[in-house]
Amino acid sequence: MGYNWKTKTFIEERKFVVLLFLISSILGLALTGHAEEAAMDGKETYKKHCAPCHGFEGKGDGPVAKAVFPKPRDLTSGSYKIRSTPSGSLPTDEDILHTLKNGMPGTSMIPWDILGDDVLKSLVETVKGFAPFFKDEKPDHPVKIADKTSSSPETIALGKKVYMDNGCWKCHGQEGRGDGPSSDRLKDDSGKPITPYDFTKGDNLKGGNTDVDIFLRFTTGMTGTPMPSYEDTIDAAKRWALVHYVRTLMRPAQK
Amino acid sequence: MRNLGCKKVAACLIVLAITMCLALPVFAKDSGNIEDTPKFTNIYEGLPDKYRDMYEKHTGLSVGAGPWGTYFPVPKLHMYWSPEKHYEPSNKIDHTIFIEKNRTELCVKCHEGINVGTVRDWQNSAHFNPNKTQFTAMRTKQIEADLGRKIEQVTCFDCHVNAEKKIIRMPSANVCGQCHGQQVQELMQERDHGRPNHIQGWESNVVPPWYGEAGRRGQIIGMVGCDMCHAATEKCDGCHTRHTFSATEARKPEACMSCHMGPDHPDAETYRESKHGMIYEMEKEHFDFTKPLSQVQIGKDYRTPTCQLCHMYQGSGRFSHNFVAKGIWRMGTVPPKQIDFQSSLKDYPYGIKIIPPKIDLKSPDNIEKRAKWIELCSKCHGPRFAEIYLETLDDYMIQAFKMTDEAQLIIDNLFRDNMIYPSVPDRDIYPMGDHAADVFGKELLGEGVYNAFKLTGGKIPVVGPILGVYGLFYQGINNPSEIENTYAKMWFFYKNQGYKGTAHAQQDYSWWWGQAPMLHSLGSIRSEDQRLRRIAADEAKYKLRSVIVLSTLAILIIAVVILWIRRRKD
Repeated sequence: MGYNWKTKTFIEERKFVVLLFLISSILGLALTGHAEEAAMDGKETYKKHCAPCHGFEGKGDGPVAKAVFPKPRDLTSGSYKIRSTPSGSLPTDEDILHTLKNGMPGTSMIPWDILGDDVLKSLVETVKGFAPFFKDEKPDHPVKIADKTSSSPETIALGKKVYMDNGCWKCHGQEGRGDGPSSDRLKDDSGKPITPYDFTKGDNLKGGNTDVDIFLRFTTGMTGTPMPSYEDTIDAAKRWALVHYVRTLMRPAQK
Repeated sequence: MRNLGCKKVAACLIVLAITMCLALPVFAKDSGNIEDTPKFTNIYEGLPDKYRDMYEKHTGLSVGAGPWGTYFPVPKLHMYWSPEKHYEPSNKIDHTIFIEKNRTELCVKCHEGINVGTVRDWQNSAHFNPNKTQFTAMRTKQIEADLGRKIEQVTCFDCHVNAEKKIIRMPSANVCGQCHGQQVQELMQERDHGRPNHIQGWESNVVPPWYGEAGRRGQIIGMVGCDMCHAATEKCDGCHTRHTFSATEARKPEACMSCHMGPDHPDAETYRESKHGMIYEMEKEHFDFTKPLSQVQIGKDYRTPTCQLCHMYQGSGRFSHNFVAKGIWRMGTVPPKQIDFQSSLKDYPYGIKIIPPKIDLKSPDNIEKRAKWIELCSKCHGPRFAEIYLETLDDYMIQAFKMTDEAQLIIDNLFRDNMIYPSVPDRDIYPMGDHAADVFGKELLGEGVYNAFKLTGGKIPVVGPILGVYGLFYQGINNPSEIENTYAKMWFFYKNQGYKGTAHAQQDYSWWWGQAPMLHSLGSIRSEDQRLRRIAADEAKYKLRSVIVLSTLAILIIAVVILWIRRRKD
């Protein structure tokens, strides 16, 4: 009924245009689908993949949280362990993205690269949205990464001295086994028990395993945990020496 | 001469070549002497649809397994005990994305923060490294040939993902059987010998009417102790525990002991405290459990038998995952044909098809089983000793059953004389007795038992093997009574304890936990019989006296009244 002679003429006269329209529509639909998938709302992604641990309101109290140790982060606190910014500062978007992408080895926080860059970026905003601090404050600039010294018997020996003099051993143990005298009494800012890293378990560090990653942890500290920032108390050369010493404690992670 | 020599050599070579050609078919025939292993498909394959509906057809947590499945809310743990029918993926976390993107390595990363033991076990297993040892590499090669693909690693997805539905699954023997088909098929052969066995363990758990009755009375959770062992039907990890699934571990007696213990089948206790068990305890560090049983050199690798060595032995050096193939007395509950029973045991199994028929000790099948035992025991003992020992076990069981016959006759007669107190009309029905006829039907119950249930709604006495064991699982109001409880313990607990004590050569169990309490129970039953009969006789006397007194009184009153009427007329 709808296909009368007028319509027929219209189509026949504009065959090329109609064909082009149809192809572009199909392509458009396909691309829109992809784009929709890629730009899946951060909130929806969060609800589906993050809330089981971090909770629907970001409080770290999702239905799976009770089974997990270390416990999932309370995202409403705004305190982030893995940052490039100084102690007391909020993390940059790149810091959050880094954690989302790489996960936190040794914990149930897996690398979420599986979601794709676009989704992860939208997720950064959702995650920040749980902590009001991000509305009022801006993160400081990332700390300066001083020139790296080379690893040598001398720098390793210096690193060991730094390790002992600054009380790293009190938590991480004399041989880096995470068995120092304070190790079984540590707690995080929310009062939950927390354990220091056992370096002998290998290169499975939560914030990444590169020398720069380790240097950053000494420099920025791990907010919310008993691991303080040593930016003001240990100079950069000694922090690099500490990196070299800690490396000697680590063995490749058991596979 | 040289020419002649060359000719001879040439002739020899031709003859040799012809001989080899003729021999080839012989070699080919030899390779055909290897036993065929049919391809594994499903542990429920070949069973009637009705059966599969009850145990395999997925119902999640909406309908339970077995004939009473609608009478109780399915305990959530049944997802793990009987995954084919009940498992539901967690709704707390959606795993689809990992399945769709085939990222099984992320399972390990996440679960390291949850189930660190699970991950570590898997990393230590042959699944993590299928070429871990020369032996596993050989087995892997064989599995690869069967599957037609290379196996680098058995990952989380291989067992835990239903690739078709893209959902998480809980692996069952069906999943294990995809690679370990021969072992699962051997286990499936247990069905040929009837219950009790492992492959029908879940059936044995949920079919008995007391399971349904517990459900109807809101006490199903109390059956969790039964569920955990009876889940052996679909679960290989009862012996090969998660997530190492080690054959080495499963060859150790301890693998059996968490289930095979307790008052009804004290296998662990009787083995552990026997001389066999003691030698094992003292020398187990010298046992080589890495060797497959078929390669174990008795006396060198094992100085004493293990559960597996005896019960997996099929004769002629063969071993199989069929643990019940040599079982003659089985669990010790089925009466033998060789006794001229005086009690209702003579009519066992009363036409009921869901319990095993009487054991014929002289059947060709059982004679063959006995020969296999003697062959096995003779590896360390004299054959005559082995034969005499096994005859002694028969004699022990025969006399134990005769004692139960006497006890059962006493109770039969009490019911016949209506002297059991409280009597059948004044007590609760037999568990699910009001539905048993409809649920099982004439075909399974036999006409007599079917009609009895149908007509009485379950108000019938049931004593002795096997359905009379209900008192150990259910206590209705006044049902069973004290004497029936004593008898149930006698034939189910004490007889079995004595049986296992004798079979496993644990003398203390044989007497103090077997024969002695059986005698004690029989004595109690005799006393209780006397007490009930005395009460009944006293009651009868009391009734007679009452009748006499009342009749005399009535006569006197009538006489007085007649006299009074006459006087008045006068």
